[in-house]
Amino acid sequence: MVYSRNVEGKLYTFGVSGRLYKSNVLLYDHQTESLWSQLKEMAIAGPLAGKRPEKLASDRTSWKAWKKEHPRTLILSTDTGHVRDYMVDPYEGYYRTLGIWFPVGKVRTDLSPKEMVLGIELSGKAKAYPISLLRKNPGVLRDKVGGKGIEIEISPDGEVAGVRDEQGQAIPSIFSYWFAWQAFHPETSVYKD
Amino acid sequence: MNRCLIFSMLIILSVSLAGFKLDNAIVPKEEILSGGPPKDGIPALLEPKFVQPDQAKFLRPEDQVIGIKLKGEAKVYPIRILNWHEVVNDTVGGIPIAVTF
Repeated sequence: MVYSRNVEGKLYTFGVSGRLYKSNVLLYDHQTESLWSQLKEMAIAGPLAGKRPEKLASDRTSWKAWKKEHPRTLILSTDTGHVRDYMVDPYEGYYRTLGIWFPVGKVRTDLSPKEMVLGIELSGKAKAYPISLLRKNPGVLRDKVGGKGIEIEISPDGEVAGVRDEQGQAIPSIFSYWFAWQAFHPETSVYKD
Repeated sequence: MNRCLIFSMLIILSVSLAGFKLDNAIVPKEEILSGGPPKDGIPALLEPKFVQPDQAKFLRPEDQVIGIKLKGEAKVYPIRILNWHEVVNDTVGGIPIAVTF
């Protein structure tokens, strides 16, 4: 997920707190050491508790699909100032927020806990789209969330190529495990064929 | 796992939370847990560098990325790198952003 670092006119930079809330990462800002929940989209402790950062639309897709749409894109360099083997996945075979032995409460059984979903929230209503279902249907999926029309574009090779409103404006969405999405959006609906 | 074990685990985890002020937490404090690595154990990027598409040889076509376009500027953040840093503090199209994973 991508957020603006400008919150109510002040600029912040963010680090990784090492803490989790509902198995999801808590960031902290270097300026006030408040804790920010990525999926709750809010500072949950510290001087900025209750503040909400602005969420910005981004695409989670393949490099191939992104490059095709944005041939002049810049790419984050592996020259990060840190020595890491970027060809290796540190979470191989292991969910990055440490699985569900951390309490997330009761997990709704609509989907299996670790099924990946594309989550969209509009007008206070949340909806989860199972990625496996999206991948099977290349083209444009038209649906409604919170009474508003949305379009999810799936490339011919099954990648999510864009999430837009009826006016064609990109809208924020997130790839998440089902258990994490439903923990933060207990009333979420789930898209079915 | 029995209840007693889970309870002891929660106690151990909560004790290691020293460092952040949680007095005014707006979620139950006992639900804020240590994730293993300490603060900054996973280093966020503060001064990210970028390369052009023809220099991005480390990327395979099917590699997953998070891409954003703001005010005409497009930037893309490979999951391969986000896996190790979780947060990139950047500016795109003049807008200060945090890419989180």
